[in-house]
Amino acid sequence: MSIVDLLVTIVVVTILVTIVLAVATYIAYKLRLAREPKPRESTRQGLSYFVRFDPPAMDADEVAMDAPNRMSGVEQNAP
Amino acid sequence: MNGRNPIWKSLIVVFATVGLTVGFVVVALIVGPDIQSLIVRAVVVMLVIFLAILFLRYFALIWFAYLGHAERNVLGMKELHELPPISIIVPAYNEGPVIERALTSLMKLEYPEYEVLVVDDGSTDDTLRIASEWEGQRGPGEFRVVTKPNGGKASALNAGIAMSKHPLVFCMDADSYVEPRTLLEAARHFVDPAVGAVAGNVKVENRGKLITKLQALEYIEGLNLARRAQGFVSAVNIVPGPVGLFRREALEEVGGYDTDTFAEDADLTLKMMSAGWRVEYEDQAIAWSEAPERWMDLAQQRYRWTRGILQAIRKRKALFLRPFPDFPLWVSTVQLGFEALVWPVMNVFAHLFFAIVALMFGAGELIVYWMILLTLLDLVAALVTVSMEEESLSLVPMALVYRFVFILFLDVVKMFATMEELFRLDMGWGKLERVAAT
Repeated sequence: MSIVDLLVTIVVVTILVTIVLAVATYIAYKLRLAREPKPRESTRQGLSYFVRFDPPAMDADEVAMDAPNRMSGVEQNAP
Repeated sequence: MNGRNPIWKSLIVVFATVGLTVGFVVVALIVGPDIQSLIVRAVVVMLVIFLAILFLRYFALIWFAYLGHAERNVLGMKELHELPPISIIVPAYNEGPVIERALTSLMKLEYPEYEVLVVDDGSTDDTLRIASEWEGQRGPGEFRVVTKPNGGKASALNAGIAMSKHPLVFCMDADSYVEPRTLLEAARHFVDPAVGAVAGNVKVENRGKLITKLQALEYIEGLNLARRAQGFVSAVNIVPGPVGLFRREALEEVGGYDTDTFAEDADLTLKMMSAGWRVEYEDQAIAWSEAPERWMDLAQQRYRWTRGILQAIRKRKALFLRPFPDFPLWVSTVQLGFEALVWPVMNVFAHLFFAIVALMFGAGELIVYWMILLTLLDLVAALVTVSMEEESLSLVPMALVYRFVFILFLDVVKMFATMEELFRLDMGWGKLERVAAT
């Protein structure tokens, strides 16, 4: 077997194995995702991911002073 | 987008793709010798076109990156007379193992005045408890901690922005940590009133495994090289989550982060550019980030990135037909689309096609020379970019397996993510487990 033949074999095997492993990894990732426990109903109700939050048009000092009161559901921790 | 998508939809996408490929092989086997000869000729043409595109892409990126690098080093940066105070927003969801490290790095920042606002996004672990221990601490900056119901990273960032007060806003990830001069280096760009944001330089911190070394090289050769090149024309198309400095005026003008994509950083950057703000790159504003250490976690991360970017592009699809009047924005968006949508599919099918043709039609020698050329190109690109970043030269040999293993793997994942996005399959955020690697 010549050097070129050897390189051809290495290249082709590397490409095919990588693609097969990538597809397998992707399927495994999807299976893992499907097996993850579903969030409880109460938690789901609390999700607000797609609720848009628009920063209010106030100047910087007012924002700093009033923001905690304006933020629904945001709780400022005591120092 | 609730992550409860039936697995069978994803599997259909996978098997349809594999089926098409197998179908091509069967057809190629049963056609006559004339057609087979035509296939080999087509492969030769494809090889040349593929190589030309790759070469042009690398050449353009390296050339513009070099110009940016030279401009900075020869002309130097303009200095701000007064450094404006900065609000640092740290959104955190279940970052207990790593948030301490992030906050510690913020205590060491070399900057005269800043505040730190940690926004706990309804974590279920000890993130809030750990962060609360920093509440009220004062170094050069004051630390505040707020908590809110879980709403996603974009909503946490918006909440933080609204509750902060300074004219510049620095957004980072709780699983990253920053270098002491990061704010200083990034803030200087705001001497230009047209600059709305500055993207920093994200580096991979954990480099103990092959997979993380490859990611370290990818961040340098792939992601940061592109940002450096885009930065030369003030049109960086993604201000990365771990390190981005924004002008508050620009953030408020565009309405903060939108919550309808999974790549809020890309979406915000495109929004700012659409509003006429310039977006620059600062390679000395450095954040260290923990890269996935397992291939499946890497697949998860890139799946989310790809779909998020495609969602951001979809919102601006009309832009593709309007290169003017905002040509830099058009170039940035088209490049983002090309890298996320066109290139991965092209790369995977080209490699598969070439491998099959090498096996079936004996064109192996040609393909080996083509591979050697590509690898040399990757090695040169790795050497140039690693030198520009003053990084470890030990990363350069990774270029030998960079394209044929690492990039090919990522492009397969991106290709499936693209197909799922085209079919609008549901998706979830997919939180990665952090280990606080040292």
